[in-house]
Amino acid sequence: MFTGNYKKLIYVLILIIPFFVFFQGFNWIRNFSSGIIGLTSAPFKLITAPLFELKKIVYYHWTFNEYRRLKKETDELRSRLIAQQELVEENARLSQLLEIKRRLVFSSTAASVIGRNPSYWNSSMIINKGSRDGIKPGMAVVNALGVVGKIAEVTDGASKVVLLTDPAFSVAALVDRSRETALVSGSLTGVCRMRYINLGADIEVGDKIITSALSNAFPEGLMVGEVTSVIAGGEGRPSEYFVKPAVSLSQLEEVLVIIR
Amino acid sequence: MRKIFFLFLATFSMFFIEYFLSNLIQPRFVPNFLLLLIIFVDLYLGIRYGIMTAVMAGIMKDSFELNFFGIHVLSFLSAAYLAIFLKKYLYMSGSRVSRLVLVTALVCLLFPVEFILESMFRSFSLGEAVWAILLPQVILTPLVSYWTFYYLKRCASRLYV
Repeated sequence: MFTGNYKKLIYVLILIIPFFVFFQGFNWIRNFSSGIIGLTSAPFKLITAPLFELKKIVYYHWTFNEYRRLKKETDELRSRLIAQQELVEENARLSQLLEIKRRLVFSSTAASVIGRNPSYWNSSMIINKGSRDGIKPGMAVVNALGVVGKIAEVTDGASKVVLLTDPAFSVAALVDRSRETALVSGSLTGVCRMRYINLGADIEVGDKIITSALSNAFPEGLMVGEVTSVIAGGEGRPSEYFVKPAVSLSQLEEVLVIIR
Repeated sequence: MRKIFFLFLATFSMFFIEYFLSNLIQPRFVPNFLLLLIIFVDLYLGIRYGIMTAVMAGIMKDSFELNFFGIHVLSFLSAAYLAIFLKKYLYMSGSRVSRLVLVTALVCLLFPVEFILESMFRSFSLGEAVWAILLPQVILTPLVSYWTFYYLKRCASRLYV
């Protein structure tokens, strides 16, 4: 089979790499990689499905206790919601008077996580909705607990989501308590960092971080995470703030993609 | 053809192990099984099959990546060439210690290659990359290399006896 000079084979293989790099813009590269993903994800599902079922059986008692706790919490929150409904209606009336338009409702589509990137240079996952379902790059991905990430690449039937903990991800945010604005971005260690904060900003450990109105992709008020540690800076140097994401990104199974 | 089929199966298995473990723990704490496979193929089957394995492994990893397609192909190809180069100076046939040294050296040399390639398209802090990626990989990948090579040898010897 290999009768020719094997060095020529090596040179040909080396030439293939720039070919892939130069023709990144063509769709057939994305379709090729989504074909590889489709080929590899089916056996993964087949092998991991029994493990998920076993996990459900093993965690039955824990799940039941968790259900009882959540039901009690929901009943308490429901009664509080009724009291707050009055405040919401008053706020809506005042907003109309001041002619401030706010979007409170957004449309979304649910998607399941079908694969995760095993690379350590970036954090991403693959969901089972693509351009056929109206998904476009840049759309926000969230779940009930808060921000998950953004759509990075889209093919016909699947999309790649860059997660909150990826170094390339960033979102405009603010501190819920003190309303200080900042930019939250991911890092290689799996925690998020807050950047571009004013010197002497009022931020403490335990503060909740939410998305701000300055964010193009995310609606205002979505939970990003909680400040877990502060490294105080010296004179003239800002402090460093680390944020633990609100969403447990390693246990995601279903997400919502916000379609504006 | 049998060797190529074995290489494809082995690459797929190693990728699956990495994928499975990265769903249980953080990906940076998962040993680089694909690199170990490339080193194994280089040492026992030669550079030609090492390159084929590197390309297959790179294509699988790049399919899941967000970055440009071809980065892992290039980094694994570099690892395959470096393995053959370092084999002359560090590896002695039958010596487990020299194999461990070879794996450690390759993990250390592959890191700057991957860092430069990834940094061309995104910005990373070198200190953070060393702490978050190089240190865990230098500890974990050589740690599992003995068992990985042992089981790969058993599979290969059963196929080719």
